[in-house]
Amino acid sequence: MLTQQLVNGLMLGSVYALIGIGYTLVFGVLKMLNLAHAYIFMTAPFMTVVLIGMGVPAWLAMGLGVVGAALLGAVLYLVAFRPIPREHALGGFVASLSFGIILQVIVVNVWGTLPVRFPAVLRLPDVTLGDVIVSGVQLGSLVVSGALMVMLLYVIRSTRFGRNIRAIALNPTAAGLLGVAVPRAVLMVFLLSSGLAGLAGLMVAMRFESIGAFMGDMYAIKALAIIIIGGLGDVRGAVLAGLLLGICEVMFKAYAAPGWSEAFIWLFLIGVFLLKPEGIFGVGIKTREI
Amino acid sequence: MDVLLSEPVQALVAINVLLTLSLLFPFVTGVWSLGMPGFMAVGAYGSSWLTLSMGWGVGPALVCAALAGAAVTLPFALLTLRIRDIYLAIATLAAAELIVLFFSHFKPTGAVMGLTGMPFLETRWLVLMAVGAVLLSALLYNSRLGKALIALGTDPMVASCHGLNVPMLQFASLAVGGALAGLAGGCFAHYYSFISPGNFSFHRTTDILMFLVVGGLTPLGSVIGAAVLTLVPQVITSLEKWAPALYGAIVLLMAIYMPSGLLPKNRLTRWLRPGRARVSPPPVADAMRSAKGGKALRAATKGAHNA
Amino acid sequence: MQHRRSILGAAAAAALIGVLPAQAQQATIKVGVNVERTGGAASYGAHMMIAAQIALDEVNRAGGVNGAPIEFVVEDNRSSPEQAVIATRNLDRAGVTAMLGPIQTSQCRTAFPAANRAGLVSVSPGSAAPGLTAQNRPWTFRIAAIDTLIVDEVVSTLRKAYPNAKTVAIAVDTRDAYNQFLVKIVAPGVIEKHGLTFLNKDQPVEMAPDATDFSVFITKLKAMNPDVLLLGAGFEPAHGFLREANRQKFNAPMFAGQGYITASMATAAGDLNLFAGQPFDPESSEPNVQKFVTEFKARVDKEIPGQYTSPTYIDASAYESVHVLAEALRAGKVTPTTDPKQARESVRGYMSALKGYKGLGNTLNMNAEGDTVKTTMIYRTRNGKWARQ
Repeated sequence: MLTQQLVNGLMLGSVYALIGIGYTLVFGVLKMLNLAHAYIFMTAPFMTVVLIGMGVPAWLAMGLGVVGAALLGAVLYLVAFRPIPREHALGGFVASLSFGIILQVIVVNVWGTLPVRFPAVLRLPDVTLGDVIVSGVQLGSLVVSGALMVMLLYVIRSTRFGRNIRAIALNPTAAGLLGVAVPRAVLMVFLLSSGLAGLAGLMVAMRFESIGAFMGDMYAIKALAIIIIGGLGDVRGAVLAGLLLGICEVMFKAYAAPGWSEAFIWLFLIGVFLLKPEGIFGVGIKTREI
Repeated sequence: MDVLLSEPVQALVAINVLLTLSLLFPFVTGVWSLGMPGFMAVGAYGSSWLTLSMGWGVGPALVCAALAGAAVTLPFALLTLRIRDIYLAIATLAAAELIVLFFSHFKPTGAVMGLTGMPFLETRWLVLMAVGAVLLSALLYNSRLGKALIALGTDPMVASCHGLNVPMLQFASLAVGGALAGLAGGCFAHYYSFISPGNFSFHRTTDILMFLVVGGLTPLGSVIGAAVLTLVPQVITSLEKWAPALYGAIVLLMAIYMPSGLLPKNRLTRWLRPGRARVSPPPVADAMRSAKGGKALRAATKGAHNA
Repeated sequence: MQHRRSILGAAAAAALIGVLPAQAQQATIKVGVNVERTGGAASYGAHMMIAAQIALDEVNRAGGVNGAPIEFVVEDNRSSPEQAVIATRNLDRAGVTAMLGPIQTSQCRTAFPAANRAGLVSVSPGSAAPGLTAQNRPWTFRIAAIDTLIVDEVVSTLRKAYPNAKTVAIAVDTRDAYNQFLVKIVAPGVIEKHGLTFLNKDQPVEMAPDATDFSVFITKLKAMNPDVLLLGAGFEPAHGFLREANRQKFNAPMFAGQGYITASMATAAGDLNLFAGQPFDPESSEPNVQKFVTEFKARVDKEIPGQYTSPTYIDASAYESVHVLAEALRAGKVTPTTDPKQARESVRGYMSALKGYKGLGNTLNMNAEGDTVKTTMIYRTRNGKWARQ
């Protein structure tokens, strides 16, 4: 039973982690919150549904869904973030939120507000380990997201691109002067971050076989909590915070008094602030490191 | 035009103006507080309880709503001592969510099912209160105290060197913001005769933030932002199901092309008094921070740099 | 040069407009619709509009009311309680004789007091919260569904199918006002009446509205070993709950409130026995029901392709409401030139006295509170489909 909860928690946690990574990457390089993130998360499965409806094979459709999400991220950057100067952090907040709302309205107008069936295209068998049943989809998602996170951490730490991003996060002007093509790098960050969001959306879609125009809303606000707890701009922190939050949330819902699972996340957040303002995994506000 | 001036629209604009002002006050002093839904909820439930269970009149209940809103800002104020900027924004957001969550489970006020039956408050009172709040805010920001508050937000270090008690003033601004939100909550409760935790969601925060950003960080800016963005949806109804998308596009364009808002600091004074286009030279710190580096320094010393 | 050309052009256009015959504007009787066209309930609104439009077309095809056609004046309330009040006021100003809608209780909560103050007779085809019309007399009505009656009949049917059932467990969505009402106000009386007892009345298994993982709750419920489950989950979470219950083979019979009788819910329920009731049966063999259902499907497929679900009691109620309003206007001898106040008063009078009206496969009777009592049809899921009991 407990192990089952842990698995469920890890699953939820990996969705949170994927969303959190993208959020925190964008904040790191732009110092702005991308509120369209959760809406791109929601749009990706719908794009996949359209492709499957046109006869595209399932695996390809999902891959294209992720690509589509990444491209949406690029459009988002060009339309909503690039035109806004760095000083106006709130401007980015509002512009991205508007972009997200437009996406949501399009989805509502085409599919309606009722849940839409996501075809159960991956016939992965359930795996039984003792008295724990892990659905094939759950396991597949865990493996994929785990691999991605490891890869990402490697990219951030050890590749030129990763160094560029860290440089931009610390000081964009200096990075530009030192030869980093800042707009191009930021665009790449958006492609990456939105692609991850899209992937997270597909994972959720596959797990519950149902999607809706409002499915991103509940993740949006939690993603904020995750990147704060993990430390703004810290990818490793986002991963750990996401996993931790996923597990805690599931545990709370299972074993604690009802209604407390929501309160828990906020209390934890405030607690982190008061006791360790740089985030429990962060290394300090001044020396923000991705 | 008739649609734009109807009473429910006026009421909604009035409430939105109060809420936008409640966000403005702490922001100006550099406190990024997103606790507005929590304060609004406290004001709404407080004044409802007073009129429903205690038989108070609406007027005194609203006064208490404002006071309650201000009182609830105290724990938030303690947060501001430890945390800044975006971190504070999210911490206050979390705290506000906790308050609303509390009301969702609090049986005496109906929990999730809400409270109903509050005595009706006429539109003209809401408009009066909103107008009053705007006038008082404008007066305040033109006074010495107001300039001190703005200075706080621009550079707290310099301000405290000049002898301003930064934490106290920030607490005071937060309290005023809380009072305004509490008042708005009370007005909401008595105009719509029904409140439930769903009325105080994060969605409202983002709406009000949009008003503030589009309008500009000044009292008049808050009014313009709240009024324009409340009225726009009333006139684009012919697009039916695409109207919300057009609204989003309008806000997006405004955020891009007018990032400091429709009526940011000094734009109005520049229009009214074209000769007095200049403000006192900005603090050196501000010029240094600008991305344009040296260029801005030179411009600042020439006095041509406008805030 | 260009200026002169454009002035000439404008003058020519103005002349033309003056010369062309004015389009024949036939006078119409206006009925207002306060509907969730956008926002979270947009799909309910879209479906309801189609149903209402079917009724409107039927009325107008048969010659309208007292010789004049009825026209809808539609206001979008954006699924927002604040906008619902603005919509009510706009409709009032437009001089409509009555207002259909809003659908959802949260919009009715603010719109009904406003309508009552303005003396505008309103009919909601969807809201089911107890006491809403009672608090807003005399101008507000509902032709929807009354939970206490429906749940009573549902439990009664369930009892007959499971005569040995004694205990009931509750699972409820913490933040859904409707389900909280259901579990805390509607259900207790009914449960007692039928000789059942609650296992966890004061400690229902509470599920967060954003619960994505229901295994926890199913496990808890299984441990309680109830004979019956009262499922107070929101529409979307209920799907997840049922799927998980299937996986874990939790097959106590269940019952729920409104809005569950859709194809997707039955599919999610699979092999489980889920009972629900509504005052409308889309499979009824009565000719007017079949005619409505066929027309409804045709129009939905045309106007919002891909979003067809079989009509719910909301759609049926909207259809019935439009016909009832037309009857009321007819009886009140209302014409396009009648003063709106007078028209509204006659509609109100007619609605209050509504008795024995033949609806879509049921009979409508208005009670003193302004709610319509209708016959209830009970359904039970069987192999992924709803079956009428």
